[in-house]
Amino acid sequence: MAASDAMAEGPASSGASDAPAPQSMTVAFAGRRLALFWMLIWTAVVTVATFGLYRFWARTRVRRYIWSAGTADGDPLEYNGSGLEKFMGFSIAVVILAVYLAVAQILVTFAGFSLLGEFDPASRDTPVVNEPGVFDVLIWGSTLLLLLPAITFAQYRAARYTAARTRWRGIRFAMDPAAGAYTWRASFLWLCSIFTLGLFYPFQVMLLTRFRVNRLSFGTARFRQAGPGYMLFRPYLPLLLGTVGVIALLSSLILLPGMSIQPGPLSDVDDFPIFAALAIGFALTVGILLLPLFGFAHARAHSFRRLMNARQIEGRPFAHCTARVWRVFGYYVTGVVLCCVVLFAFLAVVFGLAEISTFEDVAAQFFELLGVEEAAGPAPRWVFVAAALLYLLLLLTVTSTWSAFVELPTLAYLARSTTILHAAQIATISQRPEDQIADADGFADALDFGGGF
Amino acid sequence: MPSCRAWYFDGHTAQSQPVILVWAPGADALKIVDPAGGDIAIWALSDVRQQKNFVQDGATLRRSDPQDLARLRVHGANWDALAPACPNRTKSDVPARKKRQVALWAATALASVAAMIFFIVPALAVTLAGLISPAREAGIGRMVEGQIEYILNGTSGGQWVCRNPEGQAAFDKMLAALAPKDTQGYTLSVQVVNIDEINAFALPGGQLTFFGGLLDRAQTQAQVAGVLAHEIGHVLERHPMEGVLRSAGSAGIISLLFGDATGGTVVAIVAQQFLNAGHSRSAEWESDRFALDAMDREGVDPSGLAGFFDLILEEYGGAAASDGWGASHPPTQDRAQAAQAAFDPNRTYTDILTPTEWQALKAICK
Repeated sequence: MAASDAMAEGPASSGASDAPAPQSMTVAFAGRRLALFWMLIWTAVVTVATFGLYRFWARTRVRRYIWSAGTADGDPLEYNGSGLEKFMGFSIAVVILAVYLAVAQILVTFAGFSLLGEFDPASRDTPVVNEPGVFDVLIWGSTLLLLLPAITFAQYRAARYTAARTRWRGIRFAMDPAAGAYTWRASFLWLCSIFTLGLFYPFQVMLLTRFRVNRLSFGTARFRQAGPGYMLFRPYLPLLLGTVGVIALLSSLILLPGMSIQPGPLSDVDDFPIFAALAIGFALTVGILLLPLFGFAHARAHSFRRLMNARQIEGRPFAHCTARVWRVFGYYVTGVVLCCVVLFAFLAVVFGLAEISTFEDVAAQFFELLGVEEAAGPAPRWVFVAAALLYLLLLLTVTSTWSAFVELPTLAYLARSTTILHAAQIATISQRPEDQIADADGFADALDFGGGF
Repeated sequence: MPSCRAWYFDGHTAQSQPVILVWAPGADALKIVDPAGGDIAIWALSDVRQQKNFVQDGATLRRSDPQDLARLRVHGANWDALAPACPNRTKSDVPARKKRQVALWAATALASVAAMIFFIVPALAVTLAGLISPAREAGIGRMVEGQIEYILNGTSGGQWVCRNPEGQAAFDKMLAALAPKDTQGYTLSVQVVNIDEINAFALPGGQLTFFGGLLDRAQTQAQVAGVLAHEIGHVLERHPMEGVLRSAGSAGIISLLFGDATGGTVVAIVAQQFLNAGHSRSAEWESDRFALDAMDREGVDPSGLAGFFDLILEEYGGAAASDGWGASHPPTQDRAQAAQAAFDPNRTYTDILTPTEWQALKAICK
């Protein structure tokens, strides 16, 4: 198929000058936002209607869409995973995780109780460790320690499955089986990041990316991630500074006397018009989110660029990337505005239908629905069903909006800003045997981070 | 013979090769020809499958064997011409062996989840609950009580307890009469809190807590005695600890099953409710039986427990009566009938408290 022109300014032209074929190939992404949005909404509705069973097929459809939208040299990526094999992988994962999680969690709770002090009913003193806060920290801490290895194991298995089901020009991608080695490394690095309040996180991302990329191949050709361990520190700097700033601000609010935010008596807000409150809420949400959004956009675009420019295939530079922070930031801002419009418009419609115009009405309607007025015991079940359905509808609209109107254009932009070098050498790469991964991405699905594409 | 241009990928290298496709109407053959001359490959038209592809114009074609990675890219108008000649282009080729394998694993997964939820986790909970000493249990109960007080009353440190000394003395007397001699190391104590609902609960470690509304609206001593004996039953059967440990074990499994964020969490919470309810219904029956035994031993009228259920029905009406499975307590009317059945018309029943003590207890929160 028609190859692109060589990028004159790219470092490609400095490479193998003897090859007659074009030196680089363009990367493109042709996905359409609305098409993806409706696909996400529709598959989510079917997923809810089938009590979650359809999610394996839903994820397959969405991935097929995203993959086939991405092209290098005009040839699309192929995603060959199937819903059926994901369902089977999930079943395998459940057999193992059901035993592991149930036994582990029950033992953690038991161990937590055994750490609690004994209590003499004659005195009303409570041992310090019995304070709910201390106990919760104990339980959460040990649950995290149990889950981290399971989650990191699942992450590597899922990445390996995805690679094994991806093809380009009929040639398979693959990742080496190394979930065990990844598990303890990633768990340790996560703990480092948690205990340094995120300061270590850029190093964690770099070290783990390097681990995964160094085990990735396309056909018989191996990828390598070059670059020092501190390479992603700069990209993450705004996000880190922002986090430190937010922590400092919150702690000063709590620690400085007289600065603590205390909600006034409810009667003050009772008559406040609810639609004005919605408008203020909208402006505040968008405003507050701008700063962290810049941090995220900076981390995303800048580290993608650095990682791509330091990636190699068969010992040669793989790609040249020019991704800019501001473009990604623009997509993020648009996305947040859109999601907030969806969220607040939804609330406005609900309040409009329920004939609510002030906070007092909210409380009145709420209590009436719950049947508290007559003190008649539990509310009718349809109230809870309706509330749950509304909540689900809102949730899936907002997440689909974000995926289709932020993730998709960001992916498209990052793809467009990348040029693959040494096209002629890449065309000579040959096929590799198939990888059998029976559990597919079942562990990742069961542990509930199948999100994203 | 119809023909069109396409690109061919042989499945062995990442080389893209321009080719001409030639097919004859009626013949089951798609010839892939090098423009410079020479055949590259021949595919059976009935064997051609269209790779599912949502965005690119035209189609990516493959053969039915999933191991064969040779591909053809055919563009828009060309594909429109070729498509009608490929009768099985949208056929899916999942082998029956694969389907059987999937069914087998799904059944194994269901069986292992059921075994964990219904047998292994409850058994483990019972065993581990037995290993926690009553004094330690009391520590846990103290912590839970603090949380309940904060949620229901917004106070802390036991400010919600009614502390009328005469009333408390009367309740202690009733407790002493109904408690068995061997309390298995538990120190049972009872308190009344200032909440106007008809309810009572047992905390881990033996702290029994009654809501003021129950005493206020009780018509006979036997009704209060029935509930008190029922709550003692919960403590001695170790229901509170078993419940906590069991939920800790089964919560993880249930959230496994429903997975992702779109709806999974809500479904998981509902499923957890149903599951807990199933266990706690059998615990309620167990404690009812314990209560009726204790009342029989002390000569207290067992229809008192039935009277308490009548109070609930009167107060909360249909919602309490029509509990399906999914409610944490068995249908109230069934329990009332079971308690009524223990009533012996030929026996003379006595009260534990004197009328003065009973009045003091009833007014404990006044």
